Formats: sequence, structure tokens, C-alpha cells
Amino acid sequence: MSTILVNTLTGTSTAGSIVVTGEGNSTTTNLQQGLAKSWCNLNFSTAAIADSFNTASITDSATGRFVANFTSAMNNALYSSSGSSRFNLSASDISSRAVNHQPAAGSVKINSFTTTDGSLTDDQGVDSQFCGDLA
Amino acid sequence: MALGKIKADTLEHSTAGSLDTQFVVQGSAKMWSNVQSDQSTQNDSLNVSSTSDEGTGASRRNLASAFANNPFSHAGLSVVQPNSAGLSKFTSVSSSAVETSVRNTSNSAHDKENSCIAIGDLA
Repeated sequence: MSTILVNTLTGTSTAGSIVVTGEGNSTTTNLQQGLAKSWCNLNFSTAAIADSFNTASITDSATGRFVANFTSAMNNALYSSSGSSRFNLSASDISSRAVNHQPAAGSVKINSFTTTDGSLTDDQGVDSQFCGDLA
Repeated sequence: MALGKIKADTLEHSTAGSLDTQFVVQGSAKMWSNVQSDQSTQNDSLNVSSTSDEGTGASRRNLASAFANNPFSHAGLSVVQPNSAGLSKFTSVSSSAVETSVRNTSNSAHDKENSCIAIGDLA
């Protein structure tokens, strides 16, 4: 076993680009590009962050909508997001809830809504992940 | 400056703990993509060689480096305004291509900007 003691990884040719060999040993992927730059687990009912990474704060901006503010901003609003309902706090059918995002560079709006009519709702927890370029 | 290569099993930070490098390799997203509402114009991406419109609300992303197998782990999400909330389906159609499908709450195909993220083993 070998261990590298390090606080920062920086590419030699390009500081923000390090190549990692893939699992099959035949292709490579980019370390920085592949890392999730932020994730958060929010309880919309209590307006609390259960756990998070690169999330400085959240703002309850409307029913069913929180704004998550990044500690380190993204480079633009064109990053990729994914998310899902963690739990449904009151409704009987968890499949009736869904999540979407409205990204901005320094923050992201996280919307929790019903799949039946699209109305915003605070009755669930929401997991979100964001991949893209940091500023 | 010559390129260097470091082989290691563990990365250790002075205060934040250590990480087995298998988590760096296997835990990283291998593909992500954000396409515009036309389903074919890509805003930004990782490991996507081309994108095509597969009909209303449907987009196919072909990967530059294939996954080792199909299916692989993936998550999808449409990026839409809350007053036209979108539901999305994200399917790996082969080890080197994925398709997304966006529908509205009436289950009709829906052209909206959307994004997806995939994790798994590269070939």
C-alpha cells in the first residue's frame, strides 16, 4: 500500500486538469470534471440542511422552493444537476413527488413539486447533486 | 515540463482525513451533460462526443469513452420552471449511449432544458 500525504492536487500541464485511469485500464477520465462540486440533503419541512458539501447556506424563498448558496461558485449556470425525493413527510404516496433545479453560478433553486399538477410543496426531503466547472 | 504519473492507493489530507484512491476512480462521475430545450444543443458536458434530438422531449447522448457494461448507475433530472414541472427518464441504451426523456405532469413529451449525471465503471 502506498499513501500520498497531500492537501492539494494540482495538474502539472494545466493546474485544473488531472487525468485518472478508468476501471478497465483502457480509458481515462478527468478527475476535476468528474467530481461532484456540491451536494445537499435538505428537509424542506424544517428548512434544515441535513448534510451537504460546498453549501454555505439555504434560503426558504417560497413554498416548495429553497435556494442553496454555494461556498465556492460554479463557473456558469450550465452545470448538470440530479436529484430526487428523500422521503415524503406527509403524503401517502412518495411517487407523487419530484424535484427540479434552476441553476445559477453562485446558487441553485431547488423546487419540490407534486407530479399530479406541478404545484410546489414543502412536505418532503430532497437530495441534490451538482457536477460542472467551478469558477 | 515533463508529464508525471503518481501511483498510490491512498490520498491523505493533513486534517481532513484520507481516501482510498479507488473512491476517486469509482466515485467520480464519468459523464454529465446539460442540453438546451431543442434536445440537441449541448450547454456543457463531460465525456459526451455528440448529442441528437430524438423527438419532442427526447435526447440521445453518445459517449466518448464507453462504460464497461450496461446498465450503469445514472440519475437524471430535467431543468424546468416550476410552473411547468417536468418529469424525466434517463436510460442507458448501451454502454456508450444514454437517452433522456422529459414529460410534463400531463405525461406529454415536453421540450425542456435538462441535465443528467452518470456514475459507473469505464471500459
